Amino acid sequence: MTTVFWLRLHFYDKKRKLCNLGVCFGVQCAMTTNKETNLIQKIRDGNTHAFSELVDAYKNLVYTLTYRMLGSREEAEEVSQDTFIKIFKSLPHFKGDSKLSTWIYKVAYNTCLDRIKQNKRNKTFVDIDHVKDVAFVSMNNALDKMLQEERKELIKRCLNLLPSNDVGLLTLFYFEEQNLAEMEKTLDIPVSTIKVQLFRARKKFAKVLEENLEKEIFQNYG
Amino acid sequence: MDKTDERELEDFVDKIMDETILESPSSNFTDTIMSQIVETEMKASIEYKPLMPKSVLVFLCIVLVGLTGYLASDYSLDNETWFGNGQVDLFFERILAWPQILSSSKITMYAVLFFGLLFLIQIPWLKRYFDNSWMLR
Repeated sequence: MTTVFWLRLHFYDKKRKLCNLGVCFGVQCAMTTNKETNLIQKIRDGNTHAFSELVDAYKNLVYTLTYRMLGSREEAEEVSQDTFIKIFKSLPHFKGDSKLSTWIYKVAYNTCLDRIKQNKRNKTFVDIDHVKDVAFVSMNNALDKMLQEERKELIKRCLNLLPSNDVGLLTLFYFEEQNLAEMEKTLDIPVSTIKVQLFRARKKFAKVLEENLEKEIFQNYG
Repeated sequence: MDKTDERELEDFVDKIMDETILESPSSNFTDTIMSQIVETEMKASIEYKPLMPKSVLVFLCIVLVGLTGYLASDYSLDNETWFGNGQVDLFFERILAWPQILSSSKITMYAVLFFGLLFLIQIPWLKRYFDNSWMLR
């Protein structure tokens, strides 16, 4: 169990060029690692430097989630900072019955939702009731023909066009390595509901991507 | 959408999401957070926290005023000559002579002694508290 998790994290680390997630190594799955426990204990004992290690380890993940959900860099930075302050204050109450990362994502996700509620706005509405056939093959071909940088830029733009809840859900799904049980803890929603919401989020993403891909092709070759 | 389409959609989004990159906050992100945390910690450490809650202080004040009033009851405020004709000394004599007044009751005397004992017991506890909260920081 331990080895599998290590390998998965390592793979994820390399692929996404993550910051040092060394705190997650040597884990007992779904619980806090020994290293994490030591780090938490140091922070609880008043070692603020230890907290900066935790911030460095998770800042990119938290910032990515908040940026995708809020769609603004300034706001995302502010909310990410609030998230870490909340984490610091609540750390003494963290029982360690979930992964530290899951708990951090939960705080970040809820802080984003609070901000969205406070601003009384959601980014967009995507109608998926009429989405029936998405031509995945042709979309795949079109995407493959694009330059890697262009493709990444398009994907980023499309993610930003999704409603906050959907993009948050999709982001968490991949941050949590597609582990629905962990997502259940993060979102406090039953797995069955998460599955339905994920399906809808994927559908919306595919639709937004298709529309923007058409625009892109039209602009470049039209 | 049937099961095959769902699977196709899932694979497609998996592939796309695999290409996404992590965003990075500003370079001084960690420093900003740490300075905010240190500031919060400093505020918390110098924040005034009374040793006794307000309600206890109010109760002690009432007891003190009541006791003083009781001991001085022979010289009530109705007496207009209270401060006027040299009876102030008598007032304070009576106040300061309260142990003699109460000496008739042994229980009261024991209560006062017990109170004194408890007060003395508190001294090392209070010293440790102040040592921890001020000197060792």
